[in-house]
Amino acid sequence: MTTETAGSVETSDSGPTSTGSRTTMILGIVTLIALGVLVLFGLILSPADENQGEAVRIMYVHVPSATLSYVGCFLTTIGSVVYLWRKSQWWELVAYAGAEVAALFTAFTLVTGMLWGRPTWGVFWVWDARLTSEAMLMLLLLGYLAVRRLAADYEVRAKRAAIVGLLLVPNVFIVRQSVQWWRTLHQTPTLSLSGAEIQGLMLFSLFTGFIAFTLAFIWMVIHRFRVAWLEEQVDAEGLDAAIAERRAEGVIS
Amino acid sequence: MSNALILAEATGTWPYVAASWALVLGGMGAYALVTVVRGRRLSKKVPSEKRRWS
Repeated sequence: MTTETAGSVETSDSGPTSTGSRTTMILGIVTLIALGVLVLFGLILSPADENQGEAVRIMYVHVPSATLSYVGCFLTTIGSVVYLWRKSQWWELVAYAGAEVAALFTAFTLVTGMLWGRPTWGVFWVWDARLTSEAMLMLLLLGYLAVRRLAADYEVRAKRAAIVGLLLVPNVFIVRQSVQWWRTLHQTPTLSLSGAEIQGLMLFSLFTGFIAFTLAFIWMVIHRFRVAWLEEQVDAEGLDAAIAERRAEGVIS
Repeated sequence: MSNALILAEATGTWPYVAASWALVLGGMGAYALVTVVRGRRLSKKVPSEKRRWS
């Protein structure tokens, strides 16, 4: 059954009325378990660091947040490239969902970085290469989201947002390399292809953080993609209804 | 030594650790909740045949 209310179409059919599915429900439960394990190891079982003391525990949420923000940027740039190439709405919505979740994780990175900086460097913020380039990444993501939400036709805002989306991966590369290219307060990577600077339970806690945050990231992107899909359907329905209304007015008059 | 410094030495870095974890986990939870609520609201306006995951 379908009813018209306040310019929009409301359906009361028997289908599921959410963005969830069996897969996302299972994924959500596994994510919660992984986050629980992370809390156990990150806050209780892993030892304090010789130099940084308890502050090292911020690493277990800070480093995975930063990594997943880069993954989100990659997703957005890939989606933007495919959209500009093939005009695929599916990929455009993947880019949009990736950008919003990447912005969330970038915000986590910046704030936890500041909270880690205060006890280790003595200040919340310094305008050094890593912190400044990360802040630039946040601004780029907010710029993408602002352009994507412009009051314009879908094709116009999708194309403009995709062009901004192309800039994300080059900026991620600058953020990643900033500690190598310039002298900075920020430490060099804890994990690299040549090995890890931490061991034992600390390394295990960090890997648990990566797994838990990756699962959370996937869950969020899937749900955000579906919300974006629904938004576009509602917009299209609204536009169709408005056109039909105008046509009807034209016939009557 | 001022009261603030005494308090800082006594508590150490735990307040920063707690704030970081609370912010990240709380932020994730809040975002997830907002997304699910928006999804539920929008799902009512879209026919089930257009919800490909259902």
